[in-house]
Amino acid sequence: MRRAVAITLLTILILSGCGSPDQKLRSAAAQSARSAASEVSTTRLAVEQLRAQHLWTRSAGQIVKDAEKGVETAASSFSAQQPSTPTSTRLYEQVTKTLDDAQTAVTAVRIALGNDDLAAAEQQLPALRQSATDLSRIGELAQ
Amino acid sequence: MKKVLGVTLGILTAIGGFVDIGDLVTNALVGARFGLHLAWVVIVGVIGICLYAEMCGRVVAMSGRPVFDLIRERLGPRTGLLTLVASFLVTLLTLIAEIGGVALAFELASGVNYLLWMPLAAFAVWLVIWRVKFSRLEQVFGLMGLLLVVFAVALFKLGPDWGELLHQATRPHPIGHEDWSTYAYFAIALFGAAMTPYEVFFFSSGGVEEKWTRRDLVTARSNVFVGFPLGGILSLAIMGCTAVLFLPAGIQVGTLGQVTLPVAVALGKIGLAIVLIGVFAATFGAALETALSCGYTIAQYRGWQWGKLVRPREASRFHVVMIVCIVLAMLTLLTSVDPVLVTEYSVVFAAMALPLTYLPILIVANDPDYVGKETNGPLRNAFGLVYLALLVVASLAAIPLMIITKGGQ
Repeated sequence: MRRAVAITLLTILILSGCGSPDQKLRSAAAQSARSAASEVSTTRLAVEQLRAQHLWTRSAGQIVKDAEKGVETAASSFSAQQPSTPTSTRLYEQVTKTLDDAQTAVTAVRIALGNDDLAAAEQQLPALRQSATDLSRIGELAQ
Repeated sequence: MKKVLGVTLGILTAIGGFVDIGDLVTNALVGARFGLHLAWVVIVGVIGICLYAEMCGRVVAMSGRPVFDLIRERLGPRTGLLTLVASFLVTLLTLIAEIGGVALAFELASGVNYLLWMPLAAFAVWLVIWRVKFSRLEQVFGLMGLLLVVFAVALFKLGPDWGELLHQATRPHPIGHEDWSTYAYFAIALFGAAMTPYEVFFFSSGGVEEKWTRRDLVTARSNVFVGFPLGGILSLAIMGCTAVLFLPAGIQVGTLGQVTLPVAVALGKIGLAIVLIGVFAATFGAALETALSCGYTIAQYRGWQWGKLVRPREASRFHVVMIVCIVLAMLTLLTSVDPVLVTEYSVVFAAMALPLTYLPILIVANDPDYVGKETNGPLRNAFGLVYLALLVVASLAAIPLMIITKGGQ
């Protein structure tokens, strides 16, 4: 019985965390990028629906506020990673910059909606689309 | 005619009452990540809840006593206590999630932070339980919950490729970067959301409150066999909406705003207003049911006076349990824990407690001392045992999968 429990625990530990540092960083980058891409796409959808008058400004504002928190969480979770090789350092810098860009675009939309400035929010649409594409590409790193 | 109306009303109430915050969030989340590749779990879960809720209804109609009361008597205080602890904790967690859901619905409509709405939501739950008649509260929120049919309308309006949806629904496997462990984890979450323990305790205690007898078996069975499956279709519509809109866009569901967004996209502001009222009704109704279930389970185990038909003074301990649970839920939410996250965990913990909830029901439904000649037939027992095996597998796999997938990430 004890042996079975020990083997189960070991299997869980192996499956949940091991791998080379580069692999771990790639996996963390993909995870954070997918989460951030989801929030960026949500923000884009909210702005598009607001423009189409399918949403109230308050509801759109709330959705974007939540999305901003989500991008922040994804960015801070990735920034806590420790790159240990030149390859992983390059990846770390690239992903951090992409996540920062995403955060900036979503925050700009949140501020615009807070000021009832739909035009300013709409101006962020190209940046949001670009950000979502970049993040999705990083999200494919660890299939 | 009166009987037909009563049955229809019961069915409509069951449809609206079937969906709660767990179903809303889990179905939307799963649809966005897996499309309809996990739709089969909803069907399996609905068959399971129908099977066991029918047993509960039959036990109540034949014995006039709620299931938890009989569990303690039939299986003894120790086994009864184990069932009580597991079911009560899961129900309390669900109550926290439901009150959080009510506050989030108000936040989405008003833009005012949900933490400010939450004490009001908790107070309203207590006030309605205290002041409103049992049948009235069950019907009003059940019928208002029917507004969630707007998800089905939205799904049609989104103009999906039905062939593609059918293709997804008939291919039970993970897609994209998802692996089998996350697939299994969310299968368990969906199963837990469909078979949440409080549903059967509320159903059986409600039967006692409404004084069911053998003649009410038709009503009980129609509620279960028509109302719950139609409620299951609502769940599939929620999953379908996010599968059509979010899956191709890579959007994952983590907030209530995202759950309602497909309806706004399809139907505009009117759709959004309807879905917000529906979400409010579903979560508020479920908050009432879970708060009452907390009171029911403990009062029935301890042999206290309980029920809405009894004056509060005569069932004071039953009411105190509910008040304490509502306050605990409010205090937990005031720590600013994310209600959607609580919901996600509550359905997985519900899955863990399922065998402890449903095994005693199977035993009691086979005891002629309680149900007379209406014991389970061989077919019902065969299905009951198959489901019990499924419940045990889900229960044992829940924690390892939660660790391996880091909570389904």
